[in-house]
Amino acid sequence: MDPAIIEFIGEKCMISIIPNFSNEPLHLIYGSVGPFRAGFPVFVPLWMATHLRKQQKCRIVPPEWMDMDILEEIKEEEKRSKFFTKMPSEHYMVVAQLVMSTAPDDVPRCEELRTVIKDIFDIRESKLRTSIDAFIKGEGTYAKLDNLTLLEIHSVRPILPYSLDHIARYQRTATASQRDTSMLSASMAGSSTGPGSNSLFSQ
Amino acid sequence: MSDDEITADLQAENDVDAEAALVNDDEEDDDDVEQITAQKVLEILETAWINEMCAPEILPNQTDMLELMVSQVSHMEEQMRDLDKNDFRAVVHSMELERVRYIMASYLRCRLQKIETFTQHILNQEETREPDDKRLSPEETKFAKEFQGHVDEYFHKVATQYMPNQQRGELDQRIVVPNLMSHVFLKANVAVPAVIVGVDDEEVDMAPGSQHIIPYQLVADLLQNNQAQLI
Repeated sequence: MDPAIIEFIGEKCMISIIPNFSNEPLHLIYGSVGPFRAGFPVFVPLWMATHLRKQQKCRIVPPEWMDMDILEEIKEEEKRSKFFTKMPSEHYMVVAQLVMSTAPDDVPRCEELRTVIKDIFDIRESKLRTSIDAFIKGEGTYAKLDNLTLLEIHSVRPILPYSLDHIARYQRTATASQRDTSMLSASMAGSSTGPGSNSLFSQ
Repeated sequence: MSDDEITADLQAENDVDAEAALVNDDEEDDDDVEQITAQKVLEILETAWINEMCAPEILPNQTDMLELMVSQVSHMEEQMRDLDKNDFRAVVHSMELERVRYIMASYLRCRLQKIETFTQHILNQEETREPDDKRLSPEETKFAKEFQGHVDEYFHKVATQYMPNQQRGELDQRIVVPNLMSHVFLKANVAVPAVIVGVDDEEVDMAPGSQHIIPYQLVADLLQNNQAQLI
């Protein structure tokens, strides 16, 4: 999957805007939005918000979690916890990136927020890498990945499934060749491929 | 355009959602489709699109949903024709339609890619399936057969006809098969008890919304029943 597709999916998130025009409700296929009244906040999909913002037709109201104190707390929590904590939004990186690049003026302390969000992402990424390392060395074929967001999953998508596929293939080959050499050992090998499940990723 | 006309247009658009879904109803035999809204159709298509992108094998086709959505899109385009191009509503509606069209195109393209890669395997499997169980749409089947024919003909012309006899006709060995044990990322939609997750029949219970990495074959039936989706 392309990162652009992750962004495309993330753009479905609803976000609050304050329009500077008035209009009847719009009946989109995805659901109805509006009515728009100048000066009153209204929830719209992110793709619409960024478009309207570029046209200077609204101000974006940053989501509640885009706040220094809340994010600092999340960051500390993420550092403390051995597992992945729940993020305030399923697509927090996509939302942050889109909002802050299209409307830096609408977000108070934008630069600081950018840094702390990147910090959180980096902490999670390094945690993810450590867990994967342990997971692969443990020869598991299954793991739980609760609370990981789509972008984070995507960051390990090419390498993790492929390496697991390869390991599984070697194991099958090993089992098959063992079976060829001795019928006796084959019956044992069949039941000894890896310790199986592993739940490093969640509590 | 007068204000009255705009309101009329809008009114018509309001009805689009509910109506267009019913358009095909007369042609359908089963009643499942009757109550469905355009929003629901879009959700189903989106899930199908993401599943298709992540799954190693080809999944059942969504022709009914695609047809509904195509008629919905053209219906809305029809109504927007009279709107001013710079009108706020026209811009937003056409943006959304572009997004919907992208999902549909990307979905179909992804299926074609799989058909081109696993042509023979997919055709073999389709032959063993009951007519109601077919995964390809009639158009896709036609495409697969023609594609297969052209590839065979091409190989024959440039290579195999010059080869010794015993090296031709090894059709069975040339078949490209998807690796069904490849690992996928999965999200459970509902609570699924006792899913086998390992080679030694180990089981876990999946909570709604939980995410897992797991070999595809072990969860393929969960996708079919919509108990889980790929991510």
